[in-house]
Amino acid sequence: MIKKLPSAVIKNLIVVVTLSLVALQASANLFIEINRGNNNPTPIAIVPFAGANGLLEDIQAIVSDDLVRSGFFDSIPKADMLAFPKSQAEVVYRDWKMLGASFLLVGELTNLGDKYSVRYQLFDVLAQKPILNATVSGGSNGLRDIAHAISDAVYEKLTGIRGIFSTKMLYVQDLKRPSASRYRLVYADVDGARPRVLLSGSQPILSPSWSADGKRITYVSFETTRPAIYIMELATGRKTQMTNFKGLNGAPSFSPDGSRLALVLSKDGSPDIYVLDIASRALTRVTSDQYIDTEPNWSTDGNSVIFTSNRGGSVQIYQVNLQNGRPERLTFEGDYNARPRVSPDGKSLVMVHRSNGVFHIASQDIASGNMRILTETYLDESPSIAPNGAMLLYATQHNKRGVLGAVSMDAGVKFRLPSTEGDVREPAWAPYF
Amino acid sequence: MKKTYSAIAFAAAFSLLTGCASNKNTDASNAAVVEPTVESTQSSTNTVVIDTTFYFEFDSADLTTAARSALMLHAEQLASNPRSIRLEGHADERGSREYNMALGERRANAVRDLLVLQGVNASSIETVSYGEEQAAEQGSSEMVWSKNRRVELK
Amino acid sequence: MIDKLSINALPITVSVLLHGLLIWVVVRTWGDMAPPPEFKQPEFVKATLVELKTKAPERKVAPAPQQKVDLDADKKLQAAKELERKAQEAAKTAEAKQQADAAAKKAQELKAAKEKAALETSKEKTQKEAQEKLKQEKLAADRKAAEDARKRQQESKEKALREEEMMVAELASEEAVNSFTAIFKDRIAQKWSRPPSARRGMTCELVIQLVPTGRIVAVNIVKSSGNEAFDRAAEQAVRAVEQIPEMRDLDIAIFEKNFRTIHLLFNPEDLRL
Repeated sequence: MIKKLPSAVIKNLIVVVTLSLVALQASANLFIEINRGNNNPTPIAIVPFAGANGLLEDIQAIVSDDLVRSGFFDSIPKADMLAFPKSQAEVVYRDWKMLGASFLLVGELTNLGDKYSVRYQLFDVLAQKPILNATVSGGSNGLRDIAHAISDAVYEKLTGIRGIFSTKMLYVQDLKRPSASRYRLVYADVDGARPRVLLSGSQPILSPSWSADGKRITYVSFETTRPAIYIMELATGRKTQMTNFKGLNGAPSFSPDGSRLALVLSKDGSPDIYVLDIASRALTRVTSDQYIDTEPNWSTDGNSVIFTSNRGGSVQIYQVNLQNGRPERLTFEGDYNARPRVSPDGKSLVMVHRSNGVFHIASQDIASGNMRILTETYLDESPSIAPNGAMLLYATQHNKRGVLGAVSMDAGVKFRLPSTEGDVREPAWAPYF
Repeated sequence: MKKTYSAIAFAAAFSLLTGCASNKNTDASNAAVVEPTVESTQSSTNTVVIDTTFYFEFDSADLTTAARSALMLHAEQLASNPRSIRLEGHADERGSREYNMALGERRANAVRDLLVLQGVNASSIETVSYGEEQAAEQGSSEMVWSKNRRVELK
Repeated sequence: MIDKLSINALPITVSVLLHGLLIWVVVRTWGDMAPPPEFKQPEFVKATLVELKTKAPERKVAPAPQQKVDLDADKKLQAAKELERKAQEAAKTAEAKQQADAAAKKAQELKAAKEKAALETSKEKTQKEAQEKLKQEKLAADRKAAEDARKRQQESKEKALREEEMMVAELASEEAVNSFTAIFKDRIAQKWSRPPSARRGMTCELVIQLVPTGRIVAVNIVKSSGNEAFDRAAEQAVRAVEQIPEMRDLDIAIFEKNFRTIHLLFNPEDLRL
């Protein structure tokens, strides 16, 4: 049983509580909203790893190049570093703060005979605390892979997005002179290192593309003096010719489950989209008209194909449901939109887009239809989206040579991949595998 | 004398403009008949040269009048001397690659269709498109591009 | 025992809470109290203790000659200075003592005179008192009225003055808030580098603590955006700013009222994606 409080007590209670609240109010409650920021890269200091001197690959340089090329980091020059700490115990935060670094990466490499093991640590210089501590190891040929794995880990920790530094790409190289290997299909690290020629010939090679599991590629080759579609198994290098029809055989694209190829054939009169079952070779016609329908790309659910067509009077991008539908137009801005590629999350398209007579790469949000031009270069073509959806590779020209360019999906970062000889073009960014 | 001279001069000038030549036969030597369209030249081996490259406008597969004329001559030639021919279609570098393959094919088909209309046996014509893969000239100017938008008859 | 406790449970809890609240409030505001002003009037204290302290100056003088025994020249100078200071103090205390004596004497004389006058006029007083009383009462009434009026006037004047002061203080405070809010927004925006995973619509809230020099001494995330990289970038932006030096010149009351604790909401409206 609770006794009823006497009124005097209640009165005092009220007085005291009120007074306390008044005293409380005397303290600050200022609210400020920060609604804009900068687009500056974040400065990071990457200290040369202990024990990594004199190796075949410069891990510090690879990590630094990776992070800088992503556009979101600035790397503090080695020459400015006062010390080369290798672990937390040796880190004096104040020194790194003075250099202007927001983050600090240190590490130590150990040679275990048959492989290397690298322990690395990432520190938040301003908050003065470690935020990442891990070890990565790899074979003696895998120094680049170790470095890229570290770049990926740092990038993901600091940006919230999975890194693409360990991914691969395909591209076509044209030596621009008569040769038995004038045209090459090249497989390389996405930073251009360790190029491997998968295929070469005196006749054109084009439209390389990956299967979702990264195990096979498909492409068009003129090696029979006519265009034909091939599939190559990367592990073995074994090639299989998939088509040999009259007219065009082009633009092959693996379905998300890898069982079918969407492609272009003009055997029935004009270029149309077909779907070929890889195992059974059964062919299904998807479009049937006198227009040019080409460059099919699958939707992420594998139920529709998005393609280029001039059926509306100008070159635009359409989508067709494979079960039933009539093609539905997707692009309405500009008088030329072609070569669609769907982003990994299925939410946007990238394409070749002509604006004021200039060919750029543009992205379009599928739901809203909002389009944004991403590149400032021109004569751009063949966009290929990174598996993390954050960047894309494309082909462009620089100093009269074909080069690859890269841009981030928010159009914030742009850089170029130089070509070694001749022109390079038609990049195909490999998936994560 | 003056009349013949001027006739020849006129014909020569016209043939320059049209870029075509004809294999009209020996009748011409009898009279100074002015041929309003073509001029013929004869080499010692009795072969005739007609234009074998035809040009197009951007994103178009329409044949020009000059192309049509030349193709009609080709059709005639093929009628008397049938052989297999290969039509290679091309496009300039602008735009996407596979679309340009389709464009090149369109152009090659336009040439083929005209020849077939003129009586050439369809099975003796092979068409291939190279899209923008094999440019005739390097460069990125309208001049160069116009040279690359073509069909080559081989 | 337990019964008694449960009966009194509520009052006890309330009492404890109130005490706790009071203690907390006091502790919170303790540091805000300005240190007491330096006490600059030692003479008064000494005046009342004159009887006891008369020996003190003598005692203080005595050790000084002992210091003269020291051979070090510096120390001699120090000693001489010390001596001079103490002599001045002694003189001051002597003077104060003199004044106090004089005042006391005067008071005594006044008192005696009063008593005498009182005796002489006591008889006349009773007669005049009645008349005087009436007169005085009227005068008093008049005086009171005048006094009241004056008081009211004074009060309203003071009130107006206080109100004006408050308004001025309010304005100054508001002005400070506006201008420093702009400075904060600007400086933090300059240092806020968003990660590529940041999207419009992501927000996070931080609370920061400042000291009067404008230095930010604590940063805490109170509402995460759900994206670790986004949160970290916001924190880093604040740490990179580190200090708003202009705050040093700010009036301390305004600082306490507005800027000791600040809530920051990071809301990137300028992102392309």
